[in-house]
Amino acid sequence: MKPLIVGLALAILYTSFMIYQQDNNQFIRALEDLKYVADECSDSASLFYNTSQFGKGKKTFNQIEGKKAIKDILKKNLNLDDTLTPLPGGYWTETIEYDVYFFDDSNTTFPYLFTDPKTSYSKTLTEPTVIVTVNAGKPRFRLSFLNPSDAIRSSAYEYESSKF
Amino acid sequence: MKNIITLSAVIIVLMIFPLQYAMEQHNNHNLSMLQVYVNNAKEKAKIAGYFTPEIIDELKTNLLNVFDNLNEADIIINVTTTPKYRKNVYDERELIHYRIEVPIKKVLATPTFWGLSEADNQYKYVIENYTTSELLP
Repeated sequence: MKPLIVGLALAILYTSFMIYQQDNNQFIRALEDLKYVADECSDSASLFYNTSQFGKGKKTFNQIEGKKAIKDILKKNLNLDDTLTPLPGGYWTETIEYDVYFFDDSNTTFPYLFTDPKTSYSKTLTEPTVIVTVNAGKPRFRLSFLNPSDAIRSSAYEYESSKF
Repeated sequence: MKNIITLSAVIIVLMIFPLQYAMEQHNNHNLSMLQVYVNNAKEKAKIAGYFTPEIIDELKTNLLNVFDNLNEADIIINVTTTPKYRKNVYDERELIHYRIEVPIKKVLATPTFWGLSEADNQYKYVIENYTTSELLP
C-alpha cells in the first residue's frame, strides 16, 4: 500500500514537472520568435528615409512610413487584429504594446546614450538608429502558482555610413 | 514479496515520465534549430529580394540534418520565389512571404501505453511570417 501511495504522489509531482517543462519550452520559443519580430520591425522601419534630406547629406527617417511598416509587420507576424489584439490560434493572449524610437540627424546629436525605459537596456548610438521595443504580455503557464513577468523584447537597427 | 511486485508495477508506470522529459527536450531542440535556420534563410532572402533556389536548398539540407526521422518530401516550403523590391513608401505587396511546415513525428515517448497510433502521435509545426525586401529596383 505504501509504495502505491508514494507512487501516486510521485506521479502527481512528475506530471507537474512535465507541464512546466512543456510550457517553459514553448515560452522560450515564443520569446525567440518575439525577438525576431522586433528585429523585423526595426529593420523595416529603418528602410524608409527622407530622400531630399539624404541628398543634403543628412540621414532622416521617414517616421510615417516606418510606423506603418512596424504595425503591419506586427499584425502579420504575431497574428493580430487592427487593435493589436491576438487572434485565436496564436501563443500570445494579451494586446501587444510597442514603442518605437527614431534617432537621426533631425533630432539627435551623436554619440547619444539611449536607455530603454521598459528594459533599462542602454546603448550608445553613434549613427542614425531605429529602436523598437515590443511587450507581448504574460506567457502561457498552466501551473497557476507561477507568476511570470511580461515578455518584452527590443531591437535596434543602425544605419552605418561608409567610412573611408 | 507483495511489496516488490507492487513496486515493480509502480516503477514501470513512473518510467513513462523520464522518457517523456527526454522526448520533450529532443523535440524542443529540433524546433529551436528550425527557428534559427528559418530566420537565417529569411535574412538571406531579404537581401536577395526573394527565396532563391540556393536559399531553399540550404534550408532543406539544414532541416534534414536536424530532424533525423524526416525525408525531403515531409518538409513543405511555401515561399516567395519572385523578386520583391524596396521602395520609398511602405507597400505590403512588396513583402516576402514564407511558410515552412515540418511534421513532428514523435510527440509522446510511449504512445502504445496510451493507446495512440503513429498517425495520432504527430503534428505539423508551422512557421509563417512576412519580411520586407532590401533589394533595390
